[in-house]
Amino acid sequence: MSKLSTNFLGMTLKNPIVTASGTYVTGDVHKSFYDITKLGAITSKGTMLDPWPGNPQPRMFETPSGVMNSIGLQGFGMEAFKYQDKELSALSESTPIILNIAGHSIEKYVAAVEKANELNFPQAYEINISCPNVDLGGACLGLEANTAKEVTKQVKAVAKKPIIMKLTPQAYSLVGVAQAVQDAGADAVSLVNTFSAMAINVHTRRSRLSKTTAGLSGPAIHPIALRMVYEVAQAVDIPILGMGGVYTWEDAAEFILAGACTVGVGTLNLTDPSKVLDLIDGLEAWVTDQGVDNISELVGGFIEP
Amino acid sequence: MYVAPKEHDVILSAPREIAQDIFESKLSCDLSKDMLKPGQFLNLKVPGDNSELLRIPLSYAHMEDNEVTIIYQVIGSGTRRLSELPAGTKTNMLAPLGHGFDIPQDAKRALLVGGGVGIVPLIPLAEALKEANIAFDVALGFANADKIYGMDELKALSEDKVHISTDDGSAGYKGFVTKLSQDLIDNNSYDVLYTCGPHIMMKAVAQQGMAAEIPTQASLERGMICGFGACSSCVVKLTNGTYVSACKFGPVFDASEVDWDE
Repeated sequence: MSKLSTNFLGMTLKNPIVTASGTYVTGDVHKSFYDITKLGAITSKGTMLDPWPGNPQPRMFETPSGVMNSIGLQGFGMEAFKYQDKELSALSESTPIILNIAGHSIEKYVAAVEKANELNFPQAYEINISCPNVDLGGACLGLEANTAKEVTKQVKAVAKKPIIMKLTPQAYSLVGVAQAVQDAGADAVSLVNTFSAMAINVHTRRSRLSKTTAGLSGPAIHPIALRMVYEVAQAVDIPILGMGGVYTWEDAAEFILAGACTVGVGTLNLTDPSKVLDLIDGLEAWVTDQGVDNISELVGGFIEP
Repeated sequence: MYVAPKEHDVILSAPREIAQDIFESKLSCDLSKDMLKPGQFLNLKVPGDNSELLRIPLSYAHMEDNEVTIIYQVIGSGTRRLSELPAGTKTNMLAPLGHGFDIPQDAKRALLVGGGVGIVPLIPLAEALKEANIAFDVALGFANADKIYGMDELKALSEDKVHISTDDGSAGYKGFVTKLSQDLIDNNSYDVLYTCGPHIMMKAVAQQGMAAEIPTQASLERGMICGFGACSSCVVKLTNGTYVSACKFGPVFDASEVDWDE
């Protein structure tokens, strides 16, 4: 067994590096840059039951060590995956694909998961509970423990694959939400999604993006994401997919030490498409340097002050 | 021939200021001349500030084997840094990106309308039109005489058929380039119209082209995170209501398919 081999929800990953949703489509556009089967796993772009146009322009704004985005879950809907199922299933055998699912109401999540159950390629579902919910007047289900618990329970009841609940850092009590989704049957949690942020053009006095707020990602959020993963790891027993601004192997190693068993890489896939491979090499050298046989021995290995 | 985008190492030449705030740099790389098509672009990592994560999407002005010439305007900290990097600086680019201009085989005469830094992709387009034996006129708009670049190349390629305007009248016609393009459309017969420049200029040119029933191709600019179709940030709204990524389905679009009011 290799030093980085990682068991996650019954899947055997070559390494703990997982692409984060929304930054990777399903590998299609990255495969001209490098051999994508070297990754631990791939998370698809967030997909809803129905096609969705997404937000108007502008959709992005660059900030120091970060980037804000307001894509608005543009996508072709779950049905479109049918036509890619055969091709993606072949890829998913060597590099597991996690299907990220979003929705604007609990009923839509459940319907999307039922539709996803007809697909062969997903090895797990990641449920994005950071999207605006129509039943909550635009607030998201991931903000409060009781709403997060309800969506988890209903999704779990129909899902034929393990479910990873993707938590939002905007949660009023992130630890409370993590415990609630664990209680409701979540197989794992992933965190964090982007941080809700603002940028104002002072000349026009309008938002730099098409909406008032947009999601901030990149190294700017890494230290905060790390603290959040650490706190959640203290409070739940289910595995954690940690993410937020990973740009170097050290960033990824920090998440492992804080208690994540797998690490998501997002923005880096967009700015430096093949750099993710350097992270994998760096982690391998680190495991050797730490004198352990497998990276799993370093999960939660942070030494408290 | 489709060439898949890859990461290519490049070595920069010393930047040269060819007009006010307009710079030219040459990038040594392993691309051969036929690997970039007019209207395609590259996404360059500008070293020197790790807090700026995003690359800079750039049009190229000229292509030789193992050397890409870029022309860019200094508008932010990234382009400022690029204009100050010493010769020999090593970095990398993603290329080739996007779909470029389409050159109809049966076209006899074309009109190229450019504004400001949007003129850059029209230079290799002019080279390709000349190679295809398609005659063309050029109408260019600049802010003022100090901002003029690319004239020598375009004059030579078009046999002196370059018309210019400046906002302040310091060179050529005083006013918008869209006055020049309308006059040219009224007095000549064009089989294809190409445009790149500020959105408001391209919108007007697209309307002129469509009114005269000339197929019009516009190279659009959008804020881009990745440049290769992964993030969906640079979308363009089409008349059918859908959004498509400028970096992958464009940046050159059939102007009649673009929702210009978005």
